[in-house]
Amino acid sequence: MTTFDPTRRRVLGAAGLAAGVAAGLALAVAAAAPAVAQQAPIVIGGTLGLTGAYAEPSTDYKFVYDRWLEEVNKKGGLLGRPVKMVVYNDESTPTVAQSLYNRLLDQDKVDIVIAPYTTFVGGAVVPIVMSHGKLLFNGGFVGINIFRNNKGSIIGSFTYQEPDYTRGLFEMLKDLPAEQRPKRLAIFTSQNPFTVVVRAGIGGKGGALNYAKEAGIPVVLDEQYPPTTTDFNGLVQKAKAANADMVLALGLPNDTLNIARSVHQQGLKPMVFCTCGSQVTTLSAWPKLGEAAEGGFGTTVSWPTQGYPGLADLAAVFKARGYETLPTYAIVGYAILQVIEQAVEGAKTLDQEKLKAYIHANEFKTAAGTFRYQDDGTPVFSQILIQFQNGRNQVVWPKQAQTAQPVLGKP
Amino acid sequence: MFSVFLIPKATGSRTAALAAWGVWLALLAGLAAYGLFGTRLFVLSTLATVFMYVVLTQAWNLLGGYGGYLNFGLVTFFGIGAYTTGILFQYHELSPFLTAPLAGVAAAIAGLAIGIPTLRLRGAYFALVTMIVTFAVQILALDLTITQGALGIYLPALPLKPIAVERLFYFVFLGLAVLVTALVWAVEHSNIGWALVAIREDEDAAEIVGVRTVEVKWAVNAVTCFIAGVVGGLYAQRIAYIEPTGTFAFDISLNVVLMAVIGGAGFWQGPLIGAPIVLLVADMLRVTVTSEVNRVIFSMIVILIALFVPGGVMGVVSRWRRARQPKPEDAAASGLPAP
Repeated sequence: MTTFDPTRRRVLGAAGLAAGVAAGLALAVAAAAPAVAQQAPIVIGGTLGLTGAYAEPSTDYKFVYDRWLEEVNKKGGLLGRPVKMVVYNDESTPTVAQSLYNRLLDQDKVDIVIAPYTTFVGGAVVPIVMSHGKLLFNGGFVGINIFRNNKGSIIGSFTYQEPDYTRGLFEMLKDLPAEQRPKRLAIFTSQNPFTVVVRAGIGGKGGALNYAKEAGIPVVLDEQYPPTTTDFNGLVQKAKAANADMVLALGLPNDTLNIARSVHQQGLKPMVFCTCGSQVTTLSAWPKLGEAAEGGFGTTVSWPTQGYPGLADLAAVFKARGYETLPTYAIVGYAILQVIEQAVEGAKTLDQEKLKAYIHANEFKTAAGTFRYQDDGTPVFSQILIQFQNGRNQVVWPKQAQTAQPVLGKP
Repeated sequence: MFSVFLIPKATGSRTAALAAWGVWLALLAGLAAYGLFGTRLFVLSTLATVFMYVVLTQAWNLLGGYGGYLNFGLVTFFGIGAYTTGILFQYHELSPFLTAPLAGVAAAIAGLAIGIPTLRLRGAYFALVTMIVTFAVQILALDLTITQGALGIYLPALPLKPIAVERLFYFVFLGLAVLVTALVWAVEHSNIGWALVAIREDEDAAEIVGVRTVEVKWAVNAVTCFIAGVVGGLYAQRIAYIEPTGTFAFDISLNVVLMAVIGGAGFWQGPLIGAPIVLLVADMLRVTVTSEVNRVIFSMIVILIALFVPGGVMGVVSRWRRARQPKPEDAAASGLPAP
C-alpha cells in the first residue's frame, strides 16, 4: 500500500511551485517586450532621453523622427516595405539606455539602429550595438574617438566633431584685424566626455585651447565644473576678476543656459560670449533668456537659406511650432534618417556590411549638407557660426552663408 | 576583536522550513536551467542585471537592514571597484575577471577609511554623510588624471557572441548572488547578526550589554564595501565603458535601498524579492508607457508599497507567520512547552 508523507508532499509541492515561479519569471521578462509586428515592416530602433536632463533636445529628435516616418511611409516605405520606429525613453541615463538597446536588438529585432542623444549616453551603448554586428546611425552625439575606434561602423550626421566645435569662431576671429580681436579668454567646461574634448582637442589637434593659442589669444581662466552644477556665479566672478573679454561656455544645454543667465546678471560684458559646447542657441529656450541671450554666439550644422533637401520645410514646420531657429538636433536627427533612406534604397538591402560599403562609397544629400563619409564614419567638416542679434539668430560665418556681420560687444 | 559563531534560530515548524528551502532551491534550479538553455539574449541580460542588484542589495542589507544604518552611498564602493578594474586594464592590460577581487579590496579599504569616522554618526547624519561621500568621490573621479576624468575608460569587449557574453555574466552574477545570500543567511544566524539587530534596536543598550558596536559596524561595512567593489569591478567589464557620472550615479544607491525596503530590509530573503520587483516593474513600465508618465506610475507604486506594506514583502510574510504560530495558551493545552 502506498502512503503519502504530508511533509514530503508539501516540500515537493512547494518545489514544483518554485520551479514554476522561476519559469514564470523568465516568461514575464520575455512577455514584457512588445511583440514584433506581423507584416514584416523595416524596424528602426533607438532611445532618447525623453525625460531627465536631456529632455528638450530629445523631444526635438522625437518630433523629426515622427515626421520622417510619416513622410517615408507615405512614399511607400523602404524597399517596398512599411517602416516602423521603436523609440524608448532612456531617461537620459546610460545604464537604462544599455538595457533598452539590448531589448531593441534581441527582443524587437530592429533592422536599423539609431543612436541616443549625447555622448554621455551614446558612448555607453556603442559596445552593445557593435557586438551585435550592427551599424549605429548616429545623429545623436559626437565623439571622434568613438568613431575612430569603431572603424566606420558608426555613421554620423553631425558635420563637426568635438575638437572642431570652436573652429568656426576662431576662424571668424582670425579674419578680424588683430587689434579688434579679444585679448583675454575665459573657458568654462562641463566635465562631460564630449565637452572636455571641445576644450582640449585630441592628440594636440583641435580644441578651444589649441585654437586660442593659434589665434594668439591668451587663456586667463580655464575652469571645469561637474555636470550637476547649477550655480555659476562664482565662475563668472572669477572671469570678471581676470578681466576676460572673451568667454566660452562649453557645456550641455541646461548648464549653458545657467551660465548665460549668470554672465548677464553679474554684469560681465565680454566682446565675445560663445556657447560653443552644445548648440543651445538654436533651442527654443535661448530666446526666452531675453537680454541675456543677446549677442551670444553659437554653432549649428546648416541654415535654411543653404537650400539643402528638406531643410526649408523642416524650418517652416518648426517655425509653426514657435521656434524662430531650427534646432541643430532636429537637423542632424532628420539628416541621419535621410542617410538611412538613401542608403537602404541605394544598396537595396538591410545587410549591414553591404550598407556600410555603400555608405562609404557614395554621397548623401541631406538637410545638414551633402555628406561624403570619411573612413571613421564622420562627414567632412562643415559648420555655421551664428549670433543672436536683435532677438534672432543670424549667420556670421562662413562668409558664403552669412546673413549678417558679427557684432562684438564693447567691454 | 570579536568571535563569530552560528546560533540556531527557530523559525517555525521543520516542515515549513523544509518547504521554504525547497522553494528556494527549485527557484535556483529553474534559473540555472534557464541560464543553460535559454536562448533569449534580452531575458538573460535582464536577469543578469537582477542578480547583480541582488548581490548589491544583500551587501547593503548587512548594515542597512540588520544594523539599521541607512546607507545612501553604496554606489561609491561599486564605483571604486569599477574604476579599480578599469584602471588596471587601462595601464596594465589586466582582465577585470582577474582583478575583481582587488577591486573588492580597494573598495573595502576605502570603506574602512570612510567608515571609521562616519560610522560613529547615527541616523540622518550617517545617511547624509554617505550621500556626500558619493558626490565627493565622483568629483575626484572627474578630476583625477588616472581615471581619465570625464572622458572615462573603455574596456575591451569580450571576444564572444553577445548571447555568450550575457550567459557568462548571468552565471557570474547568479553565482555571486547565491554566495552572498549564503553569507547574509550565515550572518543572520550568527552572533554578528544578533549584534547588528541589537545595534538597530538600541545601540546604547547594545553597548551596555557588551556588544562592541563600533568594531562590528566597521567590520560589516568593510565586507559590504568589498562585495560592492567586486560587483563594480565585474560591471566595468560587462558594460565596457565607465565614466564618473554614470558609474557613481546616485540612482544605483537609491535602487538598492528601494529593493531592500520593498523586499524587506533585515531579512535574507528581502533582496531576492525586492530586486526583481523593482527592476522588472520599472523595465516593463519603461517600454509599455514610453512617456514620462512611467516614472510617475513607478513612484506611485513605491509610495503605495511604503504606505500599505510596511516592512516590505518579508515584513508581511513575517507578520503572517507570527499570526499562524500557536498562542501560549494553545501550546499549553497541546502539551508543548511555552516559549
